Amino acid sequence: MRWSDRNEDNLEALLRGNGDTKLGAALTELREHKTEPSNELRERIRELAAGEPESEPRRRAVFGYRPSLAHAGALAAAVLLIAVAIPIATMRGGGSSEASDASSSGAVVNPDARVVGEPQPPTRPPAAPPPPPMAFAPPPPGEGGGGGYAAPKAKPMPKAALRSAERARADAAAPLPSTTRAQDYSADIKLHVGDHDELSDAVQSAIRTTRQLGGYVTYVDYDTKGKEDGAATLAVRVPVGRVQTAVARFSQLGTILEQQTDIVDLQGRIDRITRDIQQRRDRIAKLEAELKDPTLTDAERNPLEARLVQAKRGLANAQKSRAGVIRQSRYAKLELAFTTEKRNEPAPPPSDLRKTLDDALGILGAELGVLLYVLIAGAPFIALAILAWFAARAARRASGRRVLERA
Amino acid sequence: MNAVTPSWSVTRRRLGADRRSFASVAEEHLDDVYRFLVYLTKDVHTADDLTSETFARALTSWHRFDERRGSVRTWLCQIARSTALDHFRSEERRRKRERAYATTEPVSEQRDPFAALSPALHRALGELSAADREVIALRVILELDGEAAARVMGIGRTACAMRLGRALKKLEEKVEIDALV
Repeated sequence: MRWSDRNEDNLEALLRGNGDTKLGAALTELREHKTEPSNELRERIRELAAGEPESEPRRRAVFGYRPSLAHAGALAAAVLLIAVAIPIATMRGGGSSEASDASSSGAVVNPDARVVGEPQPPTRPPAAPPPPPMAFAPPPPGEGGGGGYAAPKAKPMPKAALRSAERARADAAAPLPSTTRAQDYSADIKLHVGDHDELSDAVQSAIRTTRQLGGYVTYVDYDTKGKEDGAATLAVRVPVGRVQTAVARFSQLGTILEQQTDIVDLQGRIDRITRDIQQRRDRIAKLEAELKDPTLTDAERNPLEARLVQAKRGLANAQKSRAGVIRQSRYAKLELAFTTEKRNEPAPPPSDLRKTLDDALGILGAELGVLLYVLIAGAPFIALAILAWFAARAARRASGRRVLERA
Repeated sequence: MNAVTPSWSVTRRRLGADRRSFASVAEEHLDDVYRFLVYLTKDVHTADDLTSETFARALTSWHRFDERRGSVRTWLCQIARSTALDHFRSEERRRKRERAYATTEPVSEQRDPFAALSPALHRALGELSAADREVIALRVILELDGEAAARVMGIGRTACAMRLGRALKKLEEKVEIDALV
């Protein structure tokens, strides 16, 4: 049986020395022919091996894991990415912290009243439609246009735990009315109370306080829904000289949710009406003097008398208008809104550590994005490099094969 | 308080206790490496030199040896093969230079390692290429299994089996022809 007729199993048997052919005998002879290195070579190798350094192998398995250069490189790259991300995040986190602090401090209503010189319409529409007058309340002062001022609207308070602190803020937040100029002072306050009992007590206390301060209630709306939810709205007028006291007392009735103050300057309007009144009075006096002339005919007297009547009517209107504006400036309009509904607590500002970690993760994500971009952009080159490496390896093996064939 | 904390050097020795010294490895596998190189080069002197070179290279990279990727013998045979290829390439370059300049420098005297074999086998072995002798040395003389031999040659197991088949076929043919003559 020739070699070409043998299969792989017979080949293995042949290699184990089970063959009885000439090839089997030849292989047995080869195996038995021991070529041993000379003693000189043995001594040379022993001397060589004796020069083994004392140091232990660098790569040693730790808990079954044997580190490699590739692993170390990947670890170093990861550490580098984190080392770059954390300092940047720390710097950014510090900056944003300061910014957030500044914005949070801005949540408090600006206590400084700023009255503009030229009249401007209020920038904010009324928080609620004008309430109908109550039967028990005196008529409200006349509404008037004129000079305008709009205080910034307060944002919801970040914390409501300490009412005393809010009261202090309310005191500071209520701008002082001017003592030298007539102003239309109005404020809206929204308060949170715990339950129906507190809501009722707060409304009664607000009415009582208003009357104690010499004011009156123009509108009350009290509404309870279900067992827990309830709301009440009060529109009151208090003497403008006591408005700060009123705001401070109202602020104690619950937890402040919102507060807004509007001041409209009325002094310019009063001055204009006063000048108009004086002009009308002068005109009336002049007409009355002309009518005292006995030489006037009826045809001349009748128009003068009609003009005098008209002038007196205009004077009365102007005086009435001036009185209305002055009345308006003497009472501040306060609108109180109570609610038992839990307000939407704003999310607590994240801590510096959280912000730093968020920033670090963001930067890491960006770095990974850049890495992914580089990988995608360089994918053709990486593929070419891998192909070149495989080709070089195949060429090296083929070269070795050819060298051995020729040898 | 007789408990003694082991020193760093003691700990290192314990950690490295499972790793053999290079001297013992060289002592154990010197014969195999030498035989492999003898079959590759057909010259005792060249095999001597390449064996020394092989163990010198092995000592240099001994700290990188990982037993999970193959046995020590396979690793040493890989180094021996690479050393022999470098030798053959340098010999080719030398012969080309000699042909180009018609150098008459005498070639160093060779010592036939197969002189003790039967004439038919000796002649047949001498006519095989180094590539054929390589696979015969690995599979027959060193008795490596197919996977280890393939790893030494840097090829697949199937390719290794095919090479062995071709080499044995050539050897058989040459032995039979010689017997007929």
